[in-house]
Amino acid sequence: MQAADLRKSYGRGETVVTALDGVTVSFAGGELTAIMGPSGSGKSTLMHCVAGLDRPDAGVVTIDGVRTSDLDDRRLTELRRDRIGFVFQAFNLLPVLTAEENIVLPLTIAGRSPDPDWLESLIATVGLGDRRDHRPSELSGGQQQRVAVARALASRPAVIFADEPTGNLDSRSSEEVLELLRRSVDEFGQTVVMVTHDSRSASYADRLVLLKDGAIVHDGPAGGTDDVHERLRQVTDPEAPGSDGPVPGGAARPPRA
Amino acid sequence: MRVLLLRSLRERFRRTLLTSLAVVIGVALISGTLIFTDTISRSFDEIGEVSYRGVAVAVTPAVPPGTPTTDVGDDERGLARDVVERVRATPGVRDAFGQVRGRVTVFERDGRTSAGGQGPPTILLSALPPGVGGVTYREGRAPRGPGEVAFDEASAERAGVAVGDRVYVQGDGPRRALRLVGLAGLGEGTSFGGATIAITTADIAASLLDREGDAYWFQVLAVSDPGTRDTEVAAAVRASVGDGANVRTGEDQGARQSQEIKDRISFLPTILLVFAGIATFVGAFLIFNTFTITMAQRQREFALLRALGASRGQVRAMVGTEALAVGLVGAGLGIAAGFLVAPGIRAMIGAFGADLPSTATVFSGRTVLVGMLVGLGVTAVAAVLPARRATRVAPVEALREAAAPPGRGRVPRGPVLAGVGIGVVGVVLLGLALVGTVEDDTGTGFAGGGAGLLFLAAALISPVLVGPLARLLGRPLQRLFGLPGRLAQDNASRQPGRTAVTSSALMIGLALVVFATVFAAGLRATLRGDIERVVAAPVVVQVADGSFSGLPTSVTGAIRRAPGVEAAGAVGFGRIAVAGRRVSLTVFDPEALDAGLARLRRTDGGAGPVRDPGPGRAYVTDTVAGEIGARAGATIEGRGTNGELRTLRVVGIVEGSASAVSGVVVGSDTARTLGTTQPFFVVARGDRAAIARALERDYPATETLTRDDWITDQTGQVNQLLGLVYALLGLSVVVALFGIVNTLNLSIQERIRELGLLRAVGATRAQVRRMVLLEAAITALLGALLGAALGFVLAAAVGVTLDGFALSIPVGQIAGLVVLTGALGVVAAIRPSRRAARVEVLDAIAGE
Repeated sequence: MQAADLRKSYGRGETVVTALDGVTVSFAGGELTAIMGPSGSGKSTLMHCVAGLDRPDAGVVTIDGVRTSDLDDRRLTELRRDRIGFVFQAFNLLPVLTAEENIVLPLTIAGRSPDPDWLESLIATVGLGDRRDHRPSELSGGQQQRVAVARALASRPAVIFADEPTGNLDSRSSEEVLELLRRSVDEFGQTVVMVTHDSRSASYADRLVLLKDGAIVHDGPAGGTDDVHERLRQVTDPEAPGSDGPVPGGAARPPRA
Repeated sequence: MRVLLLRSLRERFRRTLLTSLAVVIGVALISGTLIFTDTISRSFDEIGEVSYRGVAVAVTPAVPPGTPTTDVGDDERGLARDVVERVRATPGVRDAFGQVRGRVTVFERDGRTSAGGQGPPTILLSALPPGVGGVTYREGRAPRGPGEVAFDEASAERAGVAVGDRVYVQGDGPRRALRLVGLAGLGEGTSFGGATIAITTADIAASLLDREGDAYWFQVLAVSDPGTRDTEVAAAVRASVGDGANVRTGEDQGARQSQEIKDRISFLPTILLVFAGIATFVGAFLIFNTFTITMAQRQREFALLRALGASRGQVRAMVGTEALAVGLVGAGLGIAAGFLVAPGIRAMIGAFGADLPSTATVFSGRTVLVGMLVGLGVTAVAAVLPARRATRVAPVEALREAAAPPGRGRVPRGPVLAGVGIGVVGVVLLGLALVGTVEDDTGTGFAGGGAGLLFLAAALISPVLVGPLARLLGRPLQRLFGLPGRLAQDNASRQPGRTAVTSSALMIGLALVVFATVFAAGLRATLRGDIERVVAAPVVVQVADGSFSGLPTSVTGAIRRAPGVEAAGAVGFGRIAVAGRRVSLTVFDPEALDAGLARLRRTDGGAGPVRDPGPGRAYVTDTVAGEIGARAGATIEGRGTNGELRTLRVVGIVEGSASAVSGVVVGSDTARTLGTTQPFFVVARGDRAAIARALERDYPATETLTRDDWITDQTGQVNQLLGLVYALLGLSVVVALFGIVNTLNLSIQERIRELGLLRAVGATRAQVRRMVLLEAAITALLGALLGAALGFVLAAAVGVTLDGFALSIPVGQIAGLVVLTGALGVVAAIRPSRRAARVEVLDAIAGE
């Protein structure tokens, strides 16, 4: 999956806001990437464009060798259905369906029946064996988000986009969900791209991409929580030295995120 | 996807049901009307079939083509007495019997109250031998002697009389006492279709009905020899009776008779279907609104499905199937409810004095088909736009933080402009129909379609009016109720589109109610003006039960003989065909005009009071003079309801009016030659009480009124009709009120956080409740005001095109209706307001 020179702006005339200002990035297979950046840095827009939810004003997104800009709405929808998985901050489960039905929803939409073995191992992995027939309202936040992760994994997509997956969760549930994303990369070789503003979440990633004012200002290994903190500090605080390039082991200041 | 769909429907079952209700009411009315129509149609077929049982050939009078028919009463035609002998002498005919038939009045036990209803006629028949025709005697026997009569079973019961009792029957002469000897029925279990039936011997019937000579028999029935075929015998009979009669087999005549009755009442299903259509039209608004709101609320769900890869088509299919389910449930329940509606219609018509026949309920495939098509069609049309909107949801919406709170909706300009366009088309259609460029059925279609488009246009334009009107209504509410009033106004105008659609549904119902009210007021005023101009007599005699039926011919003489009566003359109405046009025939006894009891005004410059035109002469009213090519001094050729063609000399053109004097005006002698004999009113100068006393014994079915009382009574009949229209339109208003309930429920659900916040900052439950009630009141009043304005404009537009229509504005009545509608809106909001008030502070703030 690649994105080249993406540009996107909202508004018109004097009120124009540039969300993406020539972003080029690619996501390799079997890797967990965290995208971070201050509010308004364009991280959500980047994800929307790369995931085919939104169309950039300029630039090219290629998924599995297909340029998304060449696709009409139907093809793009099918691409999303078959090759991309989503995990949302607000879980976004359908309240009328059971946990298991929610998990297989992408397959149902596509009119396919799930491979029973795969489904079983999926449910086992997310640890919801005894809760499969429960409605979302009967599940805790962490459980709901694990259902959402399983749903994203169900169709074995080329890439999973997770948008603030722990934003609505307490720290224990967050850990479970992040653990799960990590395992999906390690055990199933899944590609995951996660947008977050939580340094601890980002520390689960292999790679950290930092955005500011619609442009990538850092792209490198994620490292530990402290490393992420430091990167973030450098990006958000223009006074700080060395706001470009990796700075190992700096944890002098309290986090601002 | 199917699982999702089914679950969605189940979860939202209550709402689906409530939405379906809008379909249910319309479809129930439609299917009820169809069931009712099919059932009475079957009954009349059965009556027709049984009535000619054992009859090989039926001979009935033939009339020349172009003979007009009247809407009331039986037309004065008949066969000569000797036709029976001619038929009997025909080879193949074993025997032949003539039957006398005509309208009479049958009295209840007290001998004074008319036992017949206002709808189906009271008919006197002469008895036929057993086995000829379907009449059977359930109790007693057939009348044989001059003093005997049989009644149909149901009427005897209604009249409270039994076999052996002395009963009273009135034909053309004074009331006559007869002995009840039998209770009759048709066949084994068939009724006479709601008609009141009296049976006597032919001689008695003829004398009661004043039948003689050429127009004696209503029909002649032949029984054939064994081994003959009815069609062959019919051919032989045709040869022997000649051209003056129609000859048909008994079977054909039975079918024809039932068809004639069905044609005569065919207006009934049409009217009912029109009102059912209105209720369905209103229901469509409700469905549209519900779908629009629920689609908006489920935006995130659709966005999620789209993000997960559901195509637009899939989302559309899902929403479409949901709409289909609503339509299907609604149509199914509606068709089933039709079984309850059909007897309801019967009862309603019965309440107006018209019992209709009943056999086993007829439920035809057509009822199911029409009900389904209407239910599904309406839902589909109403759901198309919301469904399209649902598919346009961008997948990105799924990623947004919590559903966007319902913001202040703007009024899009497109629909408003479209509304203006549609309105213009509606006005043009209505105008064409009213001015008379298009006529008859096309005209009616244009008028109906034009009005429908006008409603649609008003609905589309009304969002623009919601804000200003809500402010107008809100200001006093704010003063009265403080914060709740202020918020109610705000909430009502927050999403002008939604409020507009909700109130539009009410607007349609109210517009029609106000239209009917204004029109009826105009009609009353017009009628009063017309009658006052024409009738100068201080006393008027008419039929007592208020029905538009004639008086016995002999009543005029009885009035003249009453002590102290200076002058009296009958007034009657009939039909005449002139130059291919069917126009009214207005009949005055010479005395009515000559003694100044009734006054006509010349409009062709002729001077002096208008007197009796004299035999073979006529006046023509200015309303039809041009149409039939009549002018003073010339002659016209007119064919009466008896089929006779007469040449009439036009002696002058007089002022006509729609409700009193119209068409051709002749004296009663001339009218008799044209087949119109029955008086409807007798106008007299004399002592009212004396006249009433003189009529008391022999003419108990009459009432003698002073001029003022009579005019009030005549104009009051408009109110009866208005009541019926109100009842039928009431259903549309009920549908619209359901719309208010539904919209409020959905809005409250949407604003649950807001309501919680209000409670959190200290609003009491009572305040929240009041806020919702006031919002409903504003919505209802919006609809009421728009409807009242629209209804008034429509009535004025229609009134202007009618000659001499006196537009009168019943301000008090309209204001009353508007206030009533507002109150109904508040009543409808009681439950939703309780729900809103129950919202717990924490629940609301805690979120989803």
